[in-house]
Amino acid sequence: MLIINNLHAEVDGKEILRGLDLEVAAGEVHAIMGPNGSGKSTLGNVIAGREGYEVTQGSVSYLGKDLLELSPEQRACEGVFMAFQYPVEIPGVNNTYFLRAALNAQRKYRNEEELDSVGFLRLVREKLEVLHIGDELLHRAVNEGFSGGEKKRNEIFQMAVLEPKLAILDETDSGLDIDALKAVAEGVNRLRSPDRAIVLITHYQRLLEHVKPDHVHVLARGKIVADGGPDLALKLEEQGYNWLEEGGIAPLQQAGSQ
Amino acid sequence: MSELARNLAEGLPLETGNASQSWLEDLREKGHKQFKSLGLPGKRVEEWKYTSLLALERRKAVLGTAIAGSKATFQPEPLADNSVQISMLNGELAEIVGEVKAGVRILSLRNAMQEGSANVQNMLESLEFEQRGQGFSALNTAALNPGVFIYLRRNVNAGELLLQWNSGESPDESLFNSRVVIVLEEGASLQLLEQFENRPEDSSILNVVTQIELGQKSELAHTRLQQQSSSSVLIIRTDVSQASNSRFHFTALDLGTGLARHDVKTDLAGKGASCGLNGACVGSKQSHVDHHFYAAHVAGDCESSQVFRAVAMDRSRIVFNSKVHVFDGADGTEAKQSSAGLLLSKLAEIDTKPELEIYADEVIASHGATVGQLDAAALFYMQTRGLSKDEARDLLTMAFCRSVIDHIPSESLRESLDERLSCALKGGADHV
Repeated sequence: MLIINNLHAEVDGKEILRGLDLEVAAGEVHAIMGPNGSGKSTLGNVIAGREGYEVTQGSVSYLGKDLLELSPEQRACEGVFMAFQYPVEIPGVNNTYFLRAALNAQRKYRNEEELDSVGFLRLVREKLEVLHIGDELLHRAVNEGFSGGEKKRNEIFQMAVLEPKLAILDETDSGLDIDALKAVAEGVNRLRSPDRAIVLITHYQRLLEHVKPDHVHVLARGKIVADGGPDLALKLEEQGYNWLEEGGIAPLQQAGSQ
Repeated sequence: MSELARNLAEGLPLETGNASQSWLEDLREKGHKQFKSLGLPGKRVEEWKYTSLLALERRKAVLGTAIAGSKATFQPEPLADNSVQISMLNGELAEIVGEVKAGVRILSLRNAMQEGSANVQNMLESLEFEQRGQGFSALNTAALNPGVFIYLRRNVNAGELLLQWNSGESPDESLFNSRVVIVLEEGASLQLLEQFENRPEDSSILNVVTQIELGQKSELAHTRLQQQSSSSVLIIRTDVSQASNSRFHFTALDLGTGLARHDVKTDLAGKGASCGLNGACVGSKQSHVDHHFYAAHVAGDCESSQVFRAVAMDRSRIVFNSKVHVFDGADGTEAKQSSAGLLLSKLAEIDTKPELEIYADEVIASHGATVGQLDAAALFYMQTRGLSKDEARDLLTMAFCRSVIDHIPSESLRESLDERLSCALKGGADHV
């Protein structure tokens, strides 16, 4: 579904991604872990199409299309979703209204019929129930005055409604208490399906206790330096990221393959 | 004196065609003299610093007198369906449609002056027009005759009244004057809508002075929509006097492409009175909108709030001057001012100036004024959910202006203004 090849990207003239390779197939859950500054969030932003993230080399192919040629909204309409590390507050724009406008923009793009408010509300109620989110979030302005946990739940809720093919969760677990973390994890697990891929970008292993990834990758200095199964995440938790400074990639790779 | 002012003065004294009282003749004469001395305000007057009348000056308009039996060139869809509709034509009361409730009187100003209704004479005589920059008010007084008088008896709820300002055919390019006098006795309440709307091909020059007296515990929600063509000029002054515990809630929505100047001043003269002076403006093409809001805290324990939102596109210019004056002894005053502007074009301009003068001790006052661009992070966030940049921009600008409309008490009115606002933001201000 997603094939990233030798990706180099700069922010403000500074190279952050330095030859990143990644392949994600439909039905898989991938975790990308790494220390601060390794380029995790840059990867998310490049895939989502944020301005100021310049790709200098390499390619990103999504369902056979050159993703980098598409505008952010085209990517969304093609089924790419990014849950933000810091969801943006939009005062004055009602959460429900916004989500309906977004869903209908996507449906229109795909030549599907737009949902009227009744149909949309039905869909929303369905998703809310599954995600155990109260409907008070619906009546408020997008993320405005939401607590950290509410913002992250709102991201998961948007994801549930928009039903993307490829979901990238950028540190959705950071700053969450255990209840919120479980709720987010459950939201993600419910979205797991054979035709959907999920990429979890995270600093810690704890989300992975609740969402079991198929593949774990370690990102350091703008490159994937180790790949493995769920055990790799556990090893990382034990050993921290210090070994990267010591150039100890080999033992990690070993750990991953065990 | 400019050529236009000379042209206008030549029309004075205005032939009113009816015998009138001597106080009225004296008042007109006073206005005439004052206008000859003041002329039209120039940019050297601080209050008019950002608003030039040059384009108007070039048009060589003459002083207009309403012609009996003339027809409106355009009658817009009424802003509200269920309200009593008062049609004004070239500043004259033309028609009242709908059932006026008991305890409510609506009549032409001419008739009100003749029968000596309520407090009309005192109110008319109390208008100040001696200051520099008040030439339009002097002219309005010199031409005093056309207009409307609205009176609500004690404890009467008049519901919704729509004051629709239309232009009639007239042979020359004319400036029309009109005076609106509104009196709410104790405990009365009214929702007043004003609609200034015409088509792109229409042209109108109106100079309106509105004087409002709010009795104790009375309540006026006053909403004004201005959606006029690029060759239209609206100069409108609104003076309000508020007795104790009265409430005045004013909202202006300017979506037109011409020149509009609003001066809204309220005297919080009785304890416990409150006012909200709000405005939202979408500037497009070469529109020029200038709001001067002024809350005068004369008595203590009064509240005022001023909220203004400006969206400037194309080559438009929006001016917002909000003033709070807290008089000596007006303790317990609470005054809020908030103004924010969105500049969506390099050629547009927003000038905003909050003023605060406080002479009392116990006062809570806050003010904030910002001008900026749309939040890039919010735009991107919305795009990542599938909205195009334009759709995202529309949603954000709508939300920005809506904080003003949300203050309007009537839901149906909010909805209808919402629609117009959304249309104007998409560049549809001219009803394309």
